[in-house]
Amino acid sequence: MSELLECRDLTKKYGNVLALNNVSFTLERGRIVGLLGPNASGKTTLIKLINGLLTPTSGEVLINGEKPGVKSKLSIAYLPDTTFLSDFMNVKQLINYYGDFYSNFEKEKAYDMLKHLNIAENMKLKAMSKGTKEKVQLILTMSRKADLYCLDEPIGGVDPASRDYILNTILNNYNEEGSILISTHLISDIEQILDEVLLIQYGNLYAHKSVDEIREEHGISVDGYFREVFRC
Amino acid sequence: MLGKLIKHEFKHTGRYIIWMLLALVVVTPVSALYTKFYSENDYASLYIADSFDILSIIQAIVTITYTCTIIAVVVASAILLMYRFYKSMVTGEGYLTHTLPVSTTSIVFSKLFVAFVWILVCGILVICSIITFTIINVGLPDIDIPFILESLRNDGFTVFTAFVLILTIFLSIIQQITQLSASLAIGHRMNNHPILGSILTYIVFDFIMQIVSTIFMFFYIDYMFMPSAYSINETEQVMVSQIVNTPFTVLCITQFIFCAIYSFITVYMFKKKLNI
Repeated sequence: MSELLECRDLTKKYGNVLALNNVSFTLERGRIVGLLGPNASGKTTLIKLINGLLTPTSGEVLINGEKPGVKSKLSIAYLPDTTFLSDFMNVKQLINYYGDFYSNFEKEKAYDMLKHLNIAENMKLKAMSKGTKEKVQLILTMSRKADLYCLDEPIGGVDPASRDYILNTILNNYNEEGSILISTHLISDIEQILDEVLLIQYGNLYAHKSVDEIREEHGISVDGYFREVFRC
Repeated sequence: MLGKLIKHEFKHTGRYIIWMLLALVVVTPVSALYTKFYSENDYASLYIADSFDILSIIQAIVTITYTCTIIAVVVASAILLMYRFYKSMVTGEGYLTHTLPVSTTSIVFSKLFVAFVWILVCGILVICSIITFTIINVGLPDIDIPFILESLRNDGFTVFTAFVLILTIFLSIIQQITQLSASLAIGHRMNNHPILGSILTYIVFDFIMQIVSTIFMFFYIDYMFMPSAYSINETEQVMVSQIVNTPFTVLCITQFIFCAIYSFITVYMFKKKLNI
């Protein structure tokens, strides 16, 4: 079975607010998928549901055929759009922490990437700039040999040079037998690495297409297609 | 995995609590010895002026320091533990906690277990500190321990009695911890005011506990003063076992039930109703 992720009629409500409305799609292995949509379209909600951080109002999420749980958490590497590590910990402690809980975490890979950035292993997270913190978080996430990488706005809020570094790190370090789901609205920066896109608006799945399909059918880039579809 | 969760939880919580405990270990003998020196010595010759007594000022500082250290160990450690629970389960750090490949039950248990151990250690050290302070200043009391133990045995004080009393203390600590964690678990669902929600939930839980305690005390007093209602001969000497064993066993069972309910609420809310 090559279906890595399956969402069936996934709906999530926060009180009266409909964050996701009957979203259904499947993702296969070995794909880099962009989850694209304007602000408050439901991208983060969808990613949280996949990671078991939210419970669906209705519908279901299946990862490798199973509902979110202990097994799926081992096979998903999640990078939230906020700082999620303890500030007082230093790099070595963070790597040991990840190594303790994730059997698929590759310590040497993490140390190599951090060395490349000249980040000392005894440097505490609270002593780092915002950009450096985000890079450390990304390195820890991408050092796992996961089946599915869920990256929520990995290039938001960083400078263009850092964005290139982040995209290269993602491309060069992910498990090629798995897939990546990247949520962003900075499409022009990420378009060149995407295989497929999921376009989402007001909680509804507008389209699930390959990048080649968009370019062939519409004769425009994914960025141009996004601007056309979500024009204000 | 549970062992690793507990290990890391001790590391996270210990980095402040250890220092407070070490401070208590250092401050206790220093305060006690100075207080003994101050109370025993004729320091009239050290008066600099009628209204200025430097040794009294130092004594005041020593007393304040000792008192604040005890308060810090008791109060600050409890606040730190709850803050750690809140931060790691409900705020940004919750993204890491709740995506670890471990069950929610393990996560909650590790935190509650570590909090219980720290509170117990802090409580024991505070008691030891007070005893040490007293012994240094007043000396060892003249206690005939064999006589006391014999008297207790004659009054029906058994190993089971001691066990029930200790269990009551342990369950009281666990009940407080689980009540707080359940309050945080429910309160976090109030999106814009998670802390307010937690406080309100705690107040409601406390109200329920007060009602239960009042009912227990009602029956306990009734039991104490009307033993015939409980098939105990009024002319017989009321034994320690009668006034402790049965009522406190009932109390332990009640506390255990509440601990289980609060723990279930905590796990259920974070497993099925998580919203961070």
